[in-house]
Amino acid sequence: MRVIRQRARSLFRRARVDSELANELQFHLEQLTKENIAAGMDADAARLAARRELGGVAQIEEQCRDQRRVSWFTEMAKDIRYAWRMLRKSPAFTSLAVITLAFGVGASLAVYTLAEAVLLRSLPFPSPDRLVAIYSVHVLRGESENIGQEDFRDWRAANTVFERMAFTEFDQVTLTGFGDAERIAGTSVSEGFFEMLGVRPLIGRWFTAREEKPHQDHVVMLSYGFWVRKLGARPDVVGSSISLSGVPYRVTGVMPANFRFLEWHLSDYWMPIDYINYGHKNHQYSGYGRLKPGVTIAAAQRQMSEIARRMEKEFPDCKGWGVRVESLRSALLEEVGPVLLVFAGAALIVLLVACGNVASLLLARGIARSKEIAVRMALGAGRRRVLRLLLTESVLLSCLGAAAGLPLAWWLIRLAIGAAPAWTELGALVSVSPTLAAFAITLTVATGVLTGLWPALRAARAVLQNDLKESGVSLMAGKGQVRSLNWLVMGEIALAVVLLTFAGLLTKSMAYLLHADLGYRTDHLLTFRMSLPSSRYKDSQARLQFWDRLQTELAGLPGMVSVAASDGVPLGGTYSSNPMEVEGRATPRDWAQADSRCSAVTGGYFRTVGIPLRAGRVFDEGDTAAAEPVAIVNEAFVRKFLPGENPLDKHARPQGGKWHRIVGVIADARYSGPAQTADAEFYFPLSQEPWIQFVALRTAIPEAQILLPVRATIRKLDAGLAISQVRTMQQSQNLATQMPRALMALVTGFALLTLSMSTLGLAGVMAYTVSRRKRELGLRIALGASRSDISRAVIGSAGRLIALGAAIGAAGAWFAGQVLESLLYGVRPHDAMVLLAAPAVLAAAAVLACLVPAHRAASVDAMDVLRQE
Amino acid sequence: MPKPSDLLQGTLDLLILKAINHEPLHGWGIAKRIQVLSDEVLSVQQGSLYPSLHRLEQQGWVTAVWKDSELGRQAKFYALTREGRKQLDRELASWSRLSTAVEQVLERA
Repeated sequence: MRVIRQRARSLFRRARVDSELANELQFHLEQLTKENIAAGMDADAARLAARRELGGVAQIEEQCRDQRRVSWFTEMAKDIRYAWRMLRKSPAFTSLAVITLAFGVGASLAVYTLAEAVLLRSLPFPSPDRLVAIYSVHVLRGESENIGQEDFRDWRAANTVFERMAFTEFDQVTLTGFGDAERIAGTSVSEGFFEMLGVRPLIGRWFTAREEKPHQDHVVMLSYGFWVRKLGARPDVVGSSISLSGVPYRVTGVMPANFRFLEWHLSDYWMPIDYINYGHKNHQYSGYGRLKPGVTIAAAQRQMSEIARRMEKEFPDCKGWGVRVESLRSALLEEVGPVLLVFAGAALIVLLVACGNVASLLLARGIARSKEIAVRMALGAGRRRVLRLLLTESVLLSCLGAAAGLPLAWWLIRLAIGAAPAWTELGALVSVSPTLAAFAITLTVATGVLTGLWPALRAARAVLQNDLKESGVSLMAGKGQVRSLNWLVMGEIALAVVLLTFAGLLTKSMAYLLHADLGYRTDHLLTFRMSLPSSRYKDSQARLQFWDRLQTELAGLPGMVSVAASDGVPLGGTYSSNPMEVEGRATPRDWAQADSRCSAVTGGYFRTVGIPLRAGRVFDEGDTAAAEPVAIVNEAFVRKFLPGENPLDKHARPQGGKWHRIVGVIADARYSGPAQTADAEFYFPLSQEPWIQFVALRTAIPEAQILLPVRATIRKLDAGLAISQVRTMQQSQNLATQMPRALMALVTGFALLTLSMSTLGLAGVMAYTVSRRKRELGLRIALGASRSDISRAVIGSAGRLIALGAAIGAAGAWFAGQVLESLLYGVRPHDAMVLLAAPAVLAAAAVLACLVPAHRAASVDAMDVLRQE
Repeated sequence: MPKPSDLLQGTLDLLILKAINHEPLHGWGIAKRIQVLSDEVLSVQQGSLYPSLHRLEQQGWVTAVWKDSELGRQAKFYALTREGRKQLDRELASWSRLSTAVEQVLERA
């Protein structure tokens, strides 16, 4: 208690305590003097002797203050106040340093916030590390695929490693009864799914065992977002009924707001899976499991592999298939890891270069301030005290930088949220947490120490005598200090080259994505999703009749060139693929070697989308439901199934389907976007397989202008039809390249930032060296060196730094390029052009930046300098 | 006057505490008392006396009041607190342990 009171007194009544101390020492001094007088000295001599004996009053006072144990606090306050004054005295230096640090700290904060959001909050389940994804693995190709239903049941029966297992499937329905009919996406889940995750519904309850049985009750769980958006967050929705695809579903509950699961799409609802048994054949479900406590992934993998080997022997359809068990966290990392890694790497480079830049500023300033520091040390400041003062200054700088970096971090986070796929719901994951605050503080202090420590150590090492002398500046600049500056600048240049290389690779990849030949025309093409509910369009006849009416109406709209319907469009997201049989050829046993995309299209489809016909004909009015089944294939199909043969008039079919005669061959098109290669495709005439999912419109006028009349036309024919995914092909393409575009923009921005920071840093160091060498240069000129000699010498010394830094950077980029591998399209990480161009660009910029100091060096006035000597 | 011996590190605290064990003293008085009791062998450096007093006060072992001194002006008088008495006992014990040990070594070596 007493101790606390004492400390508080020392802290808050400092003036009082100090004056008491002075008084006490004064008393002591008086007594000493009296004693001396008593010993026979005269008054003045006695006072002097007393003073001598007592020693430095100021020192004693300072020592006493140290004993108070609060000195660090008062001194820190003093240091901060002093540092603040120093920073304010040189606003140009301060603002430059603060802005530089703001970029570094801001970028790092953004990366950390995003990483924490994705890695920590994406799996809001109890013990998420026990959750795994289970894949079927095609043994020959080594690729992971979805799982088959019977596989799953056999695995579940045989294993002892999983507490629970479940599988899910993507699902879509048309929602009616809430304004315009709307297409919404959700997930079908097998029994035990929610129990496996270990979450509780926000309100209501999970499905009962009876409800989970296929083909039983129509029940649905709603997402929090859907509940708020469509039902106004009414708590009484449990037990009420909503209409999905024309069928009433009973709502059993609402999911918690933070519920999310790695489904790679946004779910508005969950319902019991309603499946048909395909045996071990159809690989269409996503499998998941929760490990029993204490079971490792490796152990689970061992047992599952063993089960899969047993099943290969037992069931012919399982031949060639294995199982892979992967933790959900690794699955997530696989998806977002490379992007996060590149983002984090770029931010780290920006931070390091910013630190390097500020450090070199501080170093140069430290040299200029050496006299001030020498005076401090002469007046009794210890080395540690000086060090602390200088570090306080740099930490204060980094605090200011961090504060200025917050808006940048915020902006970067918004950018990332905008670019991330919608299913990640990244925006909802980002939040300010205690760990984030701790990271921010640690990062700021570490940045301050990182920038300040070296310059401070150098400054505190100053030699008193040299620095106190009036002409402390020697003929040559302090060699050691200049060498430190050079190292810093070289490091910055190397880092900038690495980032520039990354930016170059991503830009080249983006250029490839944008200019790749997709095989269809992306301009003046509008597509949207429109499916005819089977409750009202019961048979093929009804669907075809509706389409005929709609087609006629749409084709009559002004500005319309052609109209088509299909069950798949380029970049539409969904497609079906089937194992094929070709007449007269053995069917490959292996699914991957036998499968082809299949879709039904109207006759005008190829003309509308802009895929050219290579041979034969397109579908026409003759291809009616009653006529001979025909098909059109693409060139990839021919290469895969009929290499070197004329495909026309050959017969092919999806396994188990009707035989179709191939009547035409069309060019390849990249349906999944520029990043993928063209798959084999097999087209039926819509008239023979009337499944409408998409409508494609080619227009003569801008697509946006046709949208309103199109909507009106559809509403006129059937107000209960939902249209969704309304996009021009250009928009679809932008959407497909959103992530690489954002990543490219970001890395390029960061690269330009480091480029300018490092070249400015170099120019600064050169300018500083020139000003230090002014005398030497003046002498050289006086002794006959020409001005071009001088500027060449300056550029030359800069050139050595640039060359060495660029070489180190290029080597670093060569090794670091691997990180980008999975993010690059149409360009390898060791692309020679980019690897050479990045250092070249940097070198050019750096040399340009050095011209000013070189010119200044050359224009040193010899007479001026000599007069000063 | 012979050069006073340097005080062993850490013994100054002990001496101060012991010096004010019977009655409160001011800094000057403490220095004088130690000097007198040691027959002028130990002379407390003022440079270490006041920081020490300050530390003891911070630790809560001594407490100080300003009052009139016998020397005709106000002075700061230091007195032991209860905690200070305990600390003195501890330091005395450890001192006797130390000095016995040193003596033993000197005798037997």
